[in-house]
Amino acid sequence: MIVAIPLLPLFASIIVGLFSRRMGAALALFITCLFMIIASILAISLFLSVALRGFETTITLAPWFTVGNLSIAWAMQVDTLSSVMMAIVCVVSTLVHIYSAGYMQDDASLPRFMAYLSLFTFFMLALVSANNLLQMFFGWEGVGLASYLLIGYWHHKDSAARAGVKAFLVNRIGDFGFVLGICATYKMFGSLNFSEIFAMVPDVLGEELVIFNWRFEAITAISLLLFVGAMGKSAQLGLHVWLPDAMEGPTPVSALIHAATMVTAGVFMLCRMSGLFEYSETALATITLFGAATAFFAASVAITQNDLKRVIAYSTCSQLGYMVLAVGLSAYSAAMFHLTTHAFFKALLFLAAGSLIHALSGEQDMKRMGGLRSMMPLTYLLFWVGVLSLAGIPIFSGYYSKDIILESAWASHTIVGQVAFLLGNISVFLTAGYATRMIIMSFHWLPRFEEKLMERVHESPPAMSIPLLLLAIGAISSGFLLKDWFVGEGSGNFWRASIFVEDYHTALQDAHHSPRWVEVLPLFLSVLGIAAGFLCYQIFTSLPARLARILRPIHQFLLEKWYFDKLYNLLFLRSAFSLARALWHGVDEKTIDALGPDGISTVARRLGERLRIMQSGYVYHYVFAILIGVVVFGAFAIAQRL
Amino acid sequence: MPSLLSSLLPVSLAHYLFLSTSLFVIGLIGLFLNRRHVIVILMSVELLFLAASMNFIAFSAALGDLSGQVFALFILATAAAEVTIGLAILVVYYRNRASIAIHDISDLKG
Amino acid sequence: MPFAILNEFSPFELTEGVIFSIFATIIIACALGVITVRNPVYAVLLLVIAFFSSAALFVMQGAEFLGLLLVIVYVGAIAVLFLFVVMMLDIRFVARAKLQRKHLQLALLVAGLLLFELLAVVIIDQPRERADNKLTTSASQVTASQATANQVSANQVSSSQVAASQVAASKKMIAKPTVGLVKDILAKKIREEELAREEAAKGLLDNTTELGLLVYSEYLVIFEIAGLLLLLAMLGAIVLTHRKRDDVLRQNISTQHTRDEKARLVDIEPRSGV
Repeated sequence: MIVAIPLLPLFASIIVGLFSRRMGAALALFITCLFMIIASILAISLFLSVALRGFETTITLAPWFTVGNLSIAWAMQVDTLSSVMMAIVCVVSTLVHIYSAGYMQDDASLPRFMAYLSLFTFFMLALVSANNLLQMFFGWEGVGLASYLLIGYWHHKDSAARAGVKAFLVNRIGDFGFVLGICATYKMFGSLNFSEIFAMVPDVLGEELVIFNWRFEAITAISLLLFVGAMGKSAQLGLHVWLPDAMEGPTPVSALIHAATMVTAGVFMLCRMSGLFEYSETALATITLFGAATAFFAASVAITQNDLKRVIAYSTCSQLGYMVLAVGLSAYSAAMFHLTTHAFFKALLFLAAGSLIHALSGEQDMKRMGGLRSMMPLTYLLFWVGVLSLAGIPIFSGYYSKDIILESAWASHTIVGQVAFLLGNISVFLTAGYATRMIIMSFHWLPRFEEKLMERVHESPPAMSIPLLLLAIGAISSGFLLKDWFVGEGSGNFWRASIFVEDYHTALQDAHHSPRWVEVLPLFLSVLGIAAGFLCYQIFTSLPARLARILRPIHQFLLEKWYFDKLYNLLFLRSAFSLARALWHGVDEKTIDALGPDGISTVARRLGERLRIMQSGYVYHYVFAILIGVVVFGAFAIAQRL
Repeated sequence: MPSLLSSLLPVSLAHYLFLSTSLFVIGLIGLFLNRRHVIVILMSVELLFLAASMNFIAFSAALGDLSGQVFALFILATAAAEVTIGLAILVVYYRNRASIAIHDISDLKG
Repeated sequence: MPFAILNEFSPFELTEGVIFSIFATIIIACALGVITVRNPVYAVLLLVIAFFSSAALFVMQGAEFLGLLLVIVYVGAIAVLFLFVVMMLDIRFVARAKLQRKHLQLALLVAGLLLFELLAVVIIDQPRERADNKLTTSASQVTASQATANQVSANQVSSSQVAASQVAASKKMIAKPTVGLVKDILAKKIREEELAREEAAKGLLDNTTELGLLVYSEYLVIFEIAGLLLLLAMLGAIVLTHRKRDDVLRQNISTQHTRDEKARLVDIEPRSGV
């Protein structure tokens, strides 16, 4: 039964994928959605049994390979961490599958889309249920592949194809760090199974890793390398550039992959490897800094973007920063809590945005929206649910998860913790601001879109509305329902062995006893942010433009996403392209082709042409040839005599 | 100047060899550097014969062996025969093609 | 003074040197002219001059028969033949086809190489004269000298004995009257031949006689073949250039004879009709 959870989406994907031509859209939808619903039911029941009855197990499915001392098997590890993730992945994936029925109904190759979605779900489930680093990497790469396929789903669109490649490449860089981390792990521990690694870590403390005569403290090095992988997958500052461009994919893809599941794989991995990370203060501090920086960076950029999906993408990046920041503070459960609530409200936001875009026949620029409040009331309402959750308003789930993270930051009493607290709070203000801005620009005022689209504006069909409603319920309720389990006083009993926290890392526990002002500050900043949003966009509507003019350099800097794209283009892409071009023309064409097929035929032809000149028909040429022969023979004769 | 004279005199076999070799090479040059008339080709062949004869005579004089001169005699006969046939061919060719310019004669072109 | 060096050489050598220089220069210049002048008639005439000069050189070396033969055959027959053809065919002053510089360079390079190679034989192995007036090169001198020296001395001994006996025999022969049988005539001829050969060995005969003795005895077969060659050449020339002309009436005797059966030969008395 447990094994069915990852295998059901796999089978659905294979069946629909292989017969996608012959299958109609309806049958493809039916198969995939049905299998996903069954998998979700199984996942939820598994989660409940793990949470309520403390069920834990490891199921070995089949051996993978054995090399020397290394023996890897396909296995599923069922503990709190993995069951939580499996439940989230299955539920959100199912809702996205159902949503796609409505959103992608006009698409030509819908079966392919559904197959990709199910394939992604399988890989993600394989990732979270792995009991060793290699299977996790298998799922890691698989979700990267599925992400590439889905971002570039409309492959005839040039920007989509390029965005897919960009996502894959940037992920690759992260994966490289991940692979190095895996190799270093094997070198230090001789095994890749989590249980074995965590058991051996205390013995390996203080040992050094020697690479090319550079010495590194082993645990820190491994942790940092693994974190590089997480940076790529979870779009942390530096390797984040792929996430906004990934919005080229269809909106259901954005909701599933780039909000709820794939991007959270990095956070999940960090939590899973808590047994390792806890022993390296350096790594934890680095992680915190990166998380805080990402949160701030993404929030600052989001207030200037005009594309609706891009704002939500940067918002995701920012919230991921929060999760990573929490990991660095050893508050793994807070990170998982935020992961869960974020999955709900971000998916809700994306799908609601999808409804909006679908209604406006593909318009994504917020400057050209507006006035939809009356035309799409349900979507408007659900959008507000998402916004309030994102901004961190009480009752809504985002409040609980974000607050506990910020309290932990304050309670950690380290410098990085304080920096994180500062940046995190600023980001709260910015988050509330851009969220409000988003909803005002999209729904309020008068319509700014074309006349002819007006009559096509409609409320979403049930296939799209029902998942939205369910997600909204989750966004509202998951906060106060799960907070005691996840981050409450008794959360140790909940998480048990799946998360390891050192005794002296007390940030999460101390967070519960933080002073009043620390608890209230984020809420205050959220309300302030919402008010500022209303002020700028609802009341004094000329204010944003004037501010942008006055603070032009800052505005430009934010609009250009801190010039990261341009910087990377300059540093890496240019040289990579010129190298590729040089290799293409110089090596492939001139050398290999020239020596091979082109070359031989050309050489043969040229040789023939040159030799043909010798047959000129003029006798004196022939005489000359004879003479040359005589000269050569004479030279031989003389040389022999010498 | 004195060394030049002492290398010129006495006239020995080497001088004649030098002369006949130069004549031979000039004949060869005429064979393939000629861009004008076909007749010149035949005349260059005559030069070749002459050079060979000169070589034989020189060696005959130096060695005191008459067979060199006999051979030169036969060279003469051969040259006569060859010129005859060569000119006959030329005449017939001219009758057929009405031109004996070198750049027109390229029927062997491959 | 520099001309003092001339005292080292005998007048004979000096004369030889001067004559050689003059004629050699003429030969080379005419040869170059043959291949470069535009007018083909000039080319043939220059060739004639080259032949004449070569004949002079041959005469100087003592091969006067061949020198004159050069004049008679080469100049008198072959060069004249050239002139015939040149003037018969409509050989215009053809403008030289563009001879590219690189072709010229390459051709001269190859020619130069060949010249160098041919001369290298001369330069590397300087010919040296041996005691018996036979040339040899340094390479073979050491190995061959012993063997040939013995042989040569043996030859000289035997030939002198033969010569002595021949002289005696011929003296006796001349004293008798020369009328007799054919075999006597032949024997006399043979003795005359041997005498001549002996005198030739002593360097007493002229070039023509020497050549004649050699050609008609040792190289007889080759001589006959050369004659056949010339016959062949003549036939070939005729066959090649012969053409039938339709507008000229010819007689074909055999056709005439076989044409009319009614014709018959009749012997006719004089003053009587048929």
